[in-house]
Amino acid sequence: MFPLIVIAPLVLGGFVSLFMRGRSHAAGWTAFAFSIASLALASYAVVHSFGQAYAITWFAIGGLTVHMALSMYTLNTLLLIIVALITPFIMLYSIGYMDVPSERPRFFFELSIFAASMMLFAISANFIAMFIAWELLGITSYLLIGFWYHRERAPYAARKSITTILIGDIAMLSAMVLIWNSFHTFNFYSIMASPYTGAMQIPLLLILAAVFTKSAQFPFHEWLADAMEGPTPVSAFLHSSTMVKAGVFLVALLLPLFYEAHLLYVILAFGIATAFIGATNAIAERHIKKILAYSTMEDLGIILVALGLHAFLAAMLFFIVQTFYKALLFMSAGSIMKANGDAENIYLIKGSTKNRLLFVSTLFGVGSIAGIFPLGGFFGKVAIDSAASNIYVYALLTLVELVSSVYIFRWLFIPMRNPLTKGMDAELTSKYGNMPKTMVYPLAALALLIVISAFAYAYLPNLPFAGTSTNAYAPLHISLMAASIETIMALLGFSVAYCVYVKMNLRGMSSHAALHALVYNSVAVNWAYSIIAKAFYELGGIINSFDYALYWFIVMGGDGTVFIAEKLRRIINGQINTYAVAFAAGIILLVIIITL
Amino acid sequence: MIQILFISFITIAIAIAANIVFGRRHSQHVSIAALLLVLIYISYSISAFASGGIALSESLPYISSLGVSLHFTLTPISIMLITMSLIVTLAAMVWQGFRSSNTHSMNSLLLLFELSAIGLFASANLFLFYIFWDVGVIAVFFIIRSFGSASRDVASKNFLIYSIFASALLLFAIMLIYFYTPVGSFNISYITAHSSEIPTAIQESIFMLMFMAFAIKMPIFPFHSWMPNAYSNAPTSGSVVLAGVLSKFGAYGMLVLFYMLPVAETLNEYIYAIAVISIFYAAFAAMKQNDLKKMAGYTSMVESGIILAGITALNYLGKYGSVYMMLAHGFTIALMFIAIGSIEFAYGTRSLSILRGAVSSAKSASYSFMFSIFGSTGMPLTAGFVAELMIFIGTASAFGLYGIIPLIGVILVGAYMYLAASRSIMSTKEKLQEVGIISKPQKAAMAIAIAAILFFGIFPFILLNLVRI
Repeated sequence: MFPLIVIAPLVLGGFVSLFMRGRSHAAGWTAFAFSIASLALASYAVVHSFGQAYAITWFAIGGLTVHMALSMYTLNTLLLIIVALITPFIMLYSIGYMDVPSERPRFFFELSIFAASMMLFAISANFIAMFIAWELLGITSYLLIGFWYHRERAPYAARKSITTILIGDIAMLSAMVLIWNSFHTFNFYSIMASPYTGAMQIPLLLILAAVFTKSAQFPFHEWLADAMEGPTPVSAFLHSSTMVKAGVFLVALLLPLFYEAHLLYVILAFGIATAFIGATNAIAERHIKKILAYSTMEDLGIILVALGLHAFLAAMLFFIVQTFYKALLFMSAGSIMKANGDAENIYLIKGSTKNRLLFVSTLFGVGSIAGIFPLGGFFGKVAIDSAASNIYVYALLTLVELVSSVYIFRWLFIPMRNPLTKGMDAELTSKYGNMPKTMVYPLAALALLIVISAFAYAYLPNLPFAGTSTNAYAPLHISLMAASIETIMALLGFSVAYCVYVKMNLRGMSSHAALHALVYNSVAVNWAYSIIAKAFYELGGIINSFDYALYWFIVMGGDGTVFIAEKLRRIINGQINTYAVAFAAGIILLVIIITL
Repeated sequence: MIQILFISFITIAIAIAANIVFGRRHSQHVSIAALLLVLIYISYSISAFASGGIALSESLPYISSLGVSLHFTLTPISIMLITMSLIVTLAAMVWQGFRSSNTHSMNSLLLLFELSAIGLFASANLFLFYIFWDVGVIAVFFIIRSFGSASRDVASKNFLIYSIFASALLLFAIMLIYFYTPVGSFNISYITAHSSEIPTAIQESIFMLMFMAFAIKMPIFPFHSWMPNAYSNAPTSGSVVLAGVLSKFGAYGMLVLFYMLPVAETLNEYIYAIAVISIFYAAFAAMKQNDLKKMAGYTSMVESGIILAGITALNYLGKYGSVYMMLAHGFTIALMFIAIGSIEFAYGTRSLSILRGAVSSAKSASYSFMFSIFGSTGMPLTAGFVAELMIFIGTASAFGLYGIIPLIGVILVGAYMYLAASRSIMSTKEKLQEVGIISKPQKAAMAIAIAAILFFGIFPFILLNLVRI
């Protein structure tokens, strides 16, 4: 159980900061220091116990033996290092971001536990350890999304996320139950090593349902856009390495099973549908963070497409590079919003170029997401394109990439172009200038990581992905054609965005209502959700009325009994002649009955 | 050989006597001390269970002409349920604090109830089972009748009528068993061994009678109509023991019944269907409740349905899973009622249409309420997860894919509970003014329940290891 030490500092740091005063930044720095310790321990653990697996018995009863199992295989260490690396950035950024003193301890506590659960998830080797982390992620994300509980939309957003995730949790629990009954083990690697049976199909579909709720895939994707109600560091964390990545990671881990069960096409179909929904919504959305949220949906969809194509290495490459640019872009959005007094509409946000360092760092993120050579995003996207053997999948992917290039440049250009009045100019200059250092420098570091992450392309094929691979994956390669098409798409997207949003200064698509409704379909999805919820609620109403009627039926039955008793009581009136008449009538009745 | 159960009975009886004699002064201290003492005895029995340092079977002669003796056995199941009932009653007792003018009468009723719980869960024959069953009912009746809220008259009367009806059915069934076993006997293990000699038709009648009696107590649809009123009109401590412990009387009885009569093996599929219907019925009925306590009541009915589903699986994991669920649900529902009671204490209402933003000043109660929701949806590291895992592995191996249908009910309940929480606890629109400040004893009660949920969720092996022996 040695790898558990990697989460110890975060848990400890969380509790220490919870019991600190919020007035100074001490809670934040404490959490940051502990997250650095966690990173150090994670690196040590990777070196020390790479390739090891650990298990202890948690409890055993009857035939059921429940282990807690951890492993430090390549895939585990990859995610562990990513999370451990991102956490200090998030903590550092939060120090500057969290300006409500009284809420600081709670914030850093919840954030630390959130990070710790993701680390536990990364190193889990069986369904039990994984499910513990999975649920802790769900609950901490609920607390973090609803962090500003006094705001109007936060309780709603938090409830939406936890309700969606609850569906996934129960699906996962059902899958675990069925898997135990067919394999009598919860261990991932034992399940993958045992011969495939048809009984695996339903549990795998249930796992996919759980993955789709966690990774915000169609039809469970809308919670992610609403999750923007949480503080920005949470969004940056949730969208880059934590929570939503858990779902796709699980698919990557169990990919041999999905392959054998012939379920890859399901993953592919849902992935591509979500990528489309995400990309189109992002182009019509005006909320600075929601654009990025839809972009995350698209990214996750693309990862699933890659996994559905059985291009495991390409998926992992994109998995890595996406982490850094998404974290950077969210932090950038948070800093810009902060300078603009928490304005969220990109048409109201101004002066995004005022802080040079912030702006240049942001450019790296934007370039990466658009797929500009030689940033990380380029390699991730091209590797997946190159693996797309099916021409339709390839065409759809290319289209999604074009759209993503358009929306991210729109995201960049519109706040740049928003006109500034004289007085505002000075105010914004001072706000951008006096921005806390912790809200700018982490971005610069992340921009550097975006560049470095491109080297994962060269390094990833050398990693020993043993323990996960039973079938040959599509090798990681980049075809020249895919690379040139991707570059063309990125540049095309740039030009389209430049023409439409800078030259023509188009502010919206209000004149094309039908097109807008088609592109911005989150309204329709939310409507569908509310229809389902209403149907359940109405059914609840009917059953409740029935319940009430049942109660009154029983009460009336009681009253009726009392009524009959009252009537019968009248007969017993103490008068001898009444009794005599009744006696005579009884005798006559008896005689008649006997003679018949 | 230490006779744990007799010592426990004597301890509690002394505490009741002390409450009656000395009245209000020190009532709280004496009662809590008594419960803690018994908890220590039981903890000792857990550690000494394997080594044989304690008497597993305690017996005193009683009515020899009927073959009835005061015969109690300590089994793993009874230890689990007694532990649960002690902690739940303790939390209920701690919650009400020191202030109330008739603490002593409440405490003596709670102690009497706890006495009946220990007796029932440990009774080795149906005669004692029946006696303790009625003692428990009467104690709770008086708790509702004397300390309840506005419409306590109707609620307590409903409760009593239903309970007496259940008792009558139970008595009838017990008499049938007595007359149809080869040597008229009340002893549960003797009946289990010889139940195949009872004619099938009679077995079916006994089964139906007992099933109805226990279904009323659990409660299971369609025998639950007493529940919403009783839960919502009982005082908080009363709701806690009512939902936490008294409903387990029915569940435990159901467990005994299913493993006592072989006819259960042919009827279990039908009963499973009833359990599933009950789960969905309660899940949907919970949605329209405006009173948080009624909502919690229907939630507890969903969990009762899950317990029944585990019992009907008639396999090892289903059996012990449902026992662990009784334990987990006892703590979870106790915490939920305690949290609701504290919110009501702080804001003067528990109506969902009025209550807003409870978390802003009733932090402890609001977080406890959230935690009870996590617990009732079976979050890992809470006792509910261990129980649900065991139960559903049991039902899935008995009924295949149908075995996981009840989990959909958990989604419904969870979704609705989160809605209620986000409305009443988180949203601060039209925030309510608080009328009371949550006291230390109330916080202590919540802490006890949370600690129990986590303790038995993180260390499930402490109790489950008893079973392996």
